[in-house]
Amino acid sequence: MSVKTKKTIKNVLYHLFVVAFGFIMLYPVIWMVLGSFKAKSEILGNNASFFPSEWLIENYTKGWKGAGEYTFGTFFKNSLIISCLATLGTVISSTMVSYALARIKFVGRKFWFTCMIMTMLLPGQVLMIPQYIIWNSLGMTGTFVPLILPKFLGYPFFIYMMMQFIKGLPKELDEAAYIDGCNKYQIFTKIVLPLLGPSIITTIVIQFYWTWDDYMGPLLYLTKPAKHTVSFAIKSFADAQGTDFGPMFAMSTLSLIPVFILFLFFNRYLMDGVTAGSVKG
Amino acid sequence: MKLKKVMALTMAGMMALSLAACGGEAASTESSQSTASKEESKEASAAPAESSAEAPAEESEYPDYSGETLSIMWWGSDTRHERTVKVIEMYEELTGIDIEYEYLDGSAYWTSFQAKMAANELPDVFQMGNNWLTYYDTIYPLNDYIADGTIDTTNISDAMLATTTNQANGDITGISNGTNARCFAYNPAIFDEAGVPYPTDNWTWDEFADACRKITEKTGNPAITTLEWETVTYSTVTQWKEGYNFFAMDGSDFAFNGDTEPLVYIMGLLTDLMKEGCIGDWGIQNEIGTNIEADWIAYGDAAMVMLSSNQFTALSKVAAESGIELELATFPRVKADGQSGMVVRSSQQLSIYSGSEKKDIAANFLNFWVNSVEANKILNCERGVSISSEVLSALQADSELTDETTAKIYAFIDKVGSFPDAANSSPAEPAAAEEIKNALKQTYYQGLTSGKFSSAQEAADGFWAEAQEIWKNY
Amino acid sequence: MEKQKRKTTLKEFMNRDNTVGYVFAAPFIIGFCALTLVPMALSLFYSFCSYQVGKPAEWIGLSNFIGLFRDSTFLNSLKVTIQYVIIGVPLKLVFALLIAMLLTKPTKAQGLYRAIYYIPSLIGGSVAVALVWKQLFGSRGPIVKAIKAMGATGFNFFGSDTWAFVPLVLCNAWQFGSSMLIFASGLKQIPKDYYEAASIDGAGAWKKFCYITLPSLSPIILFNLLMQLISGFMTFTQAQIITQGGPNHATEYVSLYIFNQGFAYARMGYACAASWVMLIIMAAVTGVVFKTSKTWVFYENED
Repeated sequence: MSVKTKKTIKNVLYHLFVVAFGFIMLYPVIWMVLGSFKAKSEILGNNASFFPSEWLIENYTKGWKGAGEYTFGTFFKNSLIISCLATLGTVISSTMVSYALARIKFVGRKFWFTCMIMTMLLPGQVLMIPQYIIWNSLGMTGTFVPLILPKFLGYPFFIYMMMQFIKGLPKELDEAAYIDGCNKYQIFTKIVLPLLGPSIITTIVIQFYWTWDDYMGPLLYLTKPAKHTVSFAIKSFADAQGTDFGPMFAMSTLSLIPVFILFLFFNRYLMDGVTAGSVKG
Repeated sequence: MKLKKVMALTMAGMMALSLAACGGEAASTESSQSTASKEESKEASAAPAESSAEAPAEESEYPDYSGETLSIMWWGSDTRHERTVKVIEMYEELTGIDIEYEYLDGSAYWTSFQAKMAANELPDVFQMGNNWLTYYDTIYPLNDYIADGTIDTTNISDAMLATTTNQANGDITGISNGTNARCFAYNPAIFDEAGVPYPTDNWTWDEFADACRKITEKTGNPAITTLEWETVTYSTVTQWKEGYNFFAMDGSDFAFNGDTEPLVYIMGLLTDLMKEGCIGDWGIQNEIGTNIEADWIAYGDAAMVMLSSNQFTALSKVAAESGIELELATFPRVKADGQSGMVVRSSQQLSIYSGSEKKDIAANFLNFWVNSVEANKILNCERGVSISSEVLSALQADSELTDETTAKIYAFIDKVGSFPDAANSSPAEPAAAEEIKNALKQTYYQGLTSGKFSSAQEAADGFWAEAQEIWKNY
Repeated sequence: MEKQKRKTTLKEFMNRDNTVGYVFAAPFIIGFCALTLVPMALSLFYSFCSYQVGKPAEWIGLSNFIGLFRDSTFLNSLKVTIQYVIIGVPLKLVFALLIAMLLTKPTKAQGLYRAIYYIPSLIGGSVAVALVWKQLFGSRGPIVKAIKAMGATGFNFFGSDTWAFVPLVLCNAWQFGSSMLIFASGLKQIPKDYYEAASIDGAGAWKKFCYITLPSLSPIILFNLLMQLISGFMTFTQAQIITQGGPNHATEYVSLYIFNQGFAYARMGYACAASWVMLIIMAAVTGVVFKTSKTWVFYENED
């Protein structure tokens, strides 16, 4: 067996494995998507087949219509506004704060870092009510502000993630720039930001779908139908006493599309050879 | 003294309503269940519709609220949301008011409710469950509005009002959205197949166990998949001895003298059945949960299900797709001639927020909500059987609104209402009820089946001790 | 002249490390003080109170904490949470790292493959996932059928104290997308010439992994480990929507316990106390990880 055939076999095996395993990974999603074309009894019954016996489009039309005067058109719009702004806020604040905590030696750095880790350690369930009271006293409940503004004020997960990436960047770059006459602000915009490219894109992709899927935030702040988000409206299909499974699956399927498109778009920049993000040590 | 009076009224009222609503057809308890229901439905659809003629006159009574707003919040499924929104729009048209509404699913509702409560920002009108004692401070009693006629209760019996009345002080905490009874539904075809007689109105737990065993032997599936554990347990306590109740009528204490015998009895019986495979195991219970449409009975795999009577509509609809026709049955009793343990309760209620600045408008809306025939034609008892006798007879007269399934529900509620002990339960769950309920199921029933407790006696003793312990925390 | 001097002072001031640090950290500091500090302090205060939302809090000293350590349900929830973390976190991390490495192999289909593996994470913890999971692992689902075919009659995940956590751990591992993505961008940051140099020295794939990939990736591994530990300790949604904590409290994780106490049972003071016990445990675990990380995490530049 020549080296070339060996390599081909290895390649084929690789692709076979990735596809087969990918199918297992996707199986639950496929099940859901197919479920969005099924009648309720076929989703829940014992003898349900994998494929719908009859492809029903009604789940989509019924689901889209929603319960009150607003359709999923409104809910998608709301989700898009919140997710885009929240993601923007996260990127701006997290890059800034992580630069300070990872690269600048200022008094109290350790203290603020500890505070940041602390905020991640307290279960959100007990902070919900006091935070709601704060937003309410500011007259902001029922608006998008409580879901967006905090993201402009730093998101510990991404701050810490970017810190780890910044620490991986060679410090000589900063020093070289400093010698060239850049001040600390210019080092941030000219050196650190460009090199953070991959982690910024990672942040965009992750934060976008986290906000998109967020349920507790809208549940607390956006319960008026005009302000519902997609994730909230989908959950509303699921009352303990009677769940509209078909429409729920249909709207869950539609809800995947925007986040998936965003991922496809940005994934190009995360793949090898597309961006020049690789840093020479 | 006051308590006794309310109780007496409750009893009397229950009787009165049962007579009024069923149009003289009170003998249904005697005959076999399925035929009785069919007769009932015919009777109901044939009854003349007198009240609908009054509808236009009634509507002109509504004041002009142009420029005013009212906020309202409820939980439920999509069907409920759609119907409720339509009724709200109808009221907006009648009065010129602008109503801001919020709807959520059942579990999200309470999280949202507590946040709003913490911020003193509850809506003017909100849906409330039988857990209203927990949220008592947020509720404005309706007694004055009922006394001055803002909320017209001419067609609402005292028994129906009692379902939302605080037995301790007489406060009327809301207007019931309809009444329900927890009950069983069964598939007669499977009973026939297994050669088991249908449940009667006074069948016993022994007969139930026997039926389960025979059915499971025949079908190889659990005869019944899920149970509402606290409900069967508490109703067994009620059945055990006259005067027993798990919680006292005013929700202030337990009311069975710490007698663990009924607990031992029912815990032992049910866990034995589960171990034999006659009741769905905990996995099956979890998979189905409270989602009635996923229950195996709808697909011909299980013979019985436990449910709330208003869920029967949704269940029957799914079952019909597989050609299955279901019937309603009461709980089995401890003794055939003993207490029924059945209860007619308010499904949920609409309450007025104690901090609302628009209580008068809210009261007017409640009046519309409960008395308007047109509005209730849209709601059509999805939440429970309408408490207004006039509304109910108008709905029953309309064969489009009252199909065979709905007629079965009406007849059933009517029958349960006629049981002497049907009002024999606290209308409100004490604040500790939720935690006690979860402890009962998750610690003691599940512990007993998994062998954590060696006997039903040990589990029952443990439960009773913990229930008292939990009670102290509230 | 004087103007000139003031100007330089301002410029100097603005370029001081302390100033720069606070300018860049300002968003977090403002957010922390305005939105997090007060709620955190309140929750600490409530943990010493009998407090029901909507009613005034009543100081009861240490009663909540004493109650917690006598509460077998709470102690059990700590136990099952730790079990979940010990099994679930390494599983998810190893899985995410393996897939990330598998999918950095430069092929034309790389983008497609990544997309496929990423979709499950995009769904999030929605009700749809819960239902799919109940069907897959349910008593009539394909997995239980396969296990039964191997002879384990009466087996069933959601009914078993011992096995109920398995579907939850798998569901969590299945949604490994964010960890994978972070690993992938970390892998991308490793300079190519490290590998080239190693190849010239004749190092095999395993050696390259141990001596280049792991050390270079160690800051990211630390990050993912810490974040997964935290989210593992706080696991909530899946347990709430798939098993509701059952059976027999086998999947009643601390967050679910806290939620039930605070919202279902309206005992917010007790829930806050439980949260702070949880915080102390997690702070201890995080502290240990930080301490040991000095020995296995390598930064490009040590400061």
